[in-house]
Amino acid sequence: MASSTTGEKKILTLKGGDNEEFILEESLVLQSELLKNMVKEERVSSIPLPSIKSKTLVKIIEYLKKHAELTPSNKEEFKNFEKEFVNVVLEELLDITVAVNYLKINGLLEFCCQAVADRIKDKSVEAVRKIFRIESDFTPEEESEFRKETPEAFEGDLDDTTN
Amino acid sequence: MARATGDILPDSLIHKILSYLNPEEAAPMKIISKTWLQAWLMTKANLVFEVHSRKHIRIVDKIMEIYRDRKFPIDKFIFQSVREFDSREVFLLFDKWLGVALQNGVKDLVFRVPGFSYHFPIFKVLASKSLRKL
Repeated sequence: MASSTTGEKKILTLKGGDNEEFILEESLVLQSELLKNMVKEERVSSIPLPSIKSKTLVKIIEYLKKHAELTPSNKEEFKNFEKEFVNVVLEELLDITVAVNYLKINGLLEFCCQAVADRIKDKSVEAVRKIFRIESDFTPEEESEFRKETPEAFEGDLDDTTN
Repeated sequence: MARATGDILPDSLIHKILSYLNPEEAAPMKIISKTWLQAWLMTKANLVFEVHSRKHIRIVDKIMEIYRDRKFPIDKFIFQSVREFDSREVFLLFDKWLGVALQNGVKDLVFRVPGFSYHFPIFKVLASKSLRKL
């Protein structure tokens, strides 16, 4: 179906983590350095991305489409779109950021990292650990020394919800 | 399906996220885990110290040792001491830190200590290839 409606345009299938398939124009995915290399070097037409949830992939494809349509006249609109794009629950934002980092979509990565940084900057160390599900690997002695040196780091916003 | 957790968050990504925080916001993040500490150190290519006490000397020394041992690049090294030190022990530390800064490719170096008892190792510093501003 796809090939009959798109004429000369090359088509590529991306397969998300839950085996859902996304068919899109090859030109769109070239914004991803990783996929660009795969397409150019291996001439594949279907790329499995088992580590990326379909939900995340849908968001990223939405961005790729918007970005491809970017012209000097709709710059403002695109900026608003970007703002809305990262205005999701933190857990989803982290999924997107990790996926974008993996796919190497540079402009979007910068924007996502900025958004993550903004979300965690006022949080306490404990809250950030919970958000990223990190166990401290410092010894209890090192930990208590940190607490003495920078007590304010342990205050901050204790809210660790990723919503 | 794993979500974005600490262990699947690549080091380069932690570094990137930290680089979007200002120094005050980023500093507490070094306590999260050893990986975050490393990532934080990498964002701190500009080392600026202002020393008021002996305790500060110890902290600076610890940081400089990490930079030395892991060979983290240093762009800028600014050291300022508010109080005067006159012990040989501290001077040896000054020498050591300057050595680390030079070895790790420091480009801008500012070293201010009150009094005249510390002999700045001027020849060692001038011999450095990376330095462009003193």
